Amino acid sequence: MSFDELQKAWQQQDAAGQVTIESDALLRLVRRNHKTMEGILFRRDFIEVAIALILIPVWIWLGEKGGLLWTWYLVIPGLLWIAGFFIVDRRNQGKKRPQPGDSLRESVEQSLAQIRHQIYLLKNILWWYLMPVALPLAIFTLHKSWLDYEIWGMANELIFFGLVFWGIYELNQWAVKKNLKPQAEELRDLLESLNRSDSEVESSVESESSDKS
Amino acid sequence: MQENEEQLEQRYCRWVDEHQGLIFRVVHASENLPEDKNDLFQEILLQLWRSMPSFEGRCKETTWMYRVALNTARAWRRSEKRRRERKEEIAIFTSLHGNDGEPNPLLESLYEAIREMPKAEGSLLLLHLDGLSYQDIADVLGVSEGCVGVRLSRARKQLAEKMKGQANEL
Repeated sequence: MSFDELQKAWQQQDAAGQVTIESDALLRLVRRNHKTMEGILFRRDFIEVAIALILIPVWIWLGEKGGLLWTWYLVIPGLLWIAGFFIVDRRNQGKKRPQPGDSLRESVEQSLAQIRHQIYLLKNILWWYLMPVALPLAIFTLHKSWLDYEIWGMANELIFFGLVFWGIYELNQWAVKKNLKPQAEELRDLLESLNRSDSEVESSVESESSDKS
Repeated sequence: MQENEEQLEQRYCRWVDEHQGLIFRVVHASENLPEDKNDLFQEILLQLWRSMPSFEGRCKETTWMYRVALNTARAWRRSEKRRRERKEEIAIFTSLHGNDGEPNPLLESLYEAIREMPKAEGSLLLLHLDGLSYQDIADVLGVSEGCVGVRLSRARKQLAEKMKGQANEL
């Protein structure tokens, strides 16, 4: 069988007989999806920031209620920093999201850039997410123990918080290794294969023109 | 002039109605299991709907639809776990068959060969089999027209290798 015959058989496939689309159900789905998508986007942006912001009054209330030292409140700038970081990053990245109507190459490029950004964020989670909270907490613990002369209590608290933050850090590094890096590699391979053929064409055109000259 | 919701829905239904074969072929060339086909088909239809407002007519409708379908199929594999809970069936697939209604093993093998190929080659071959011009293929994939020719001859060789015994003169 020749390629033309194969192509003919391919083009003669009768899709209408092999897939039945329920038009009413489809329209119901897209109408429902339009509303839920707006809700999902809003909630996703809102929840991440809201958690950091809601913690601020809770933190103040706990400090006031327990009559805690001034160093307790050093966590608040850290929480504000995290909320601000989320907002700015989400806004910047939102503009770069791949669009369904992009060409395959553009779509792969955008997806790869997005995944690389996620990897960068998670690899550096210690600096922008964990440290702004862990450092003030450590200062507060040291301050309190210094005043109370409680070396063992301080050591226990520091070890506990250290383990919690280390666990969060490791969990994120695992996610990078297990999910994001394979995705990035797959996308990079696809992009390279698309780019490679372009450069091959350029080099073959160059060699042809040099042969002629 | 911006379309209202009703006009958008009308255009959407027309696109789906006229070009469902295109989506059907992308789905078959991407996934093998019936439940995956259903999910991907639904996802492409949703992505197509979401993309409608940004279609400005700078390319052909079919070019736009191929882009949406191929991009969705490419990204969908990685988000299988987040597969949405399907409340109602949007599309019902039957097994592949030819015009006579009989199962078509040649088409099955062809789809299987495309699924096994690297994504760039598989997409290229699918567009070529669909009869798109080099210019249109280049538009969908975002590569140069010259690259399409080079890539296509390689993809056809790969296809011939995979379909040895069934289609020897590829």
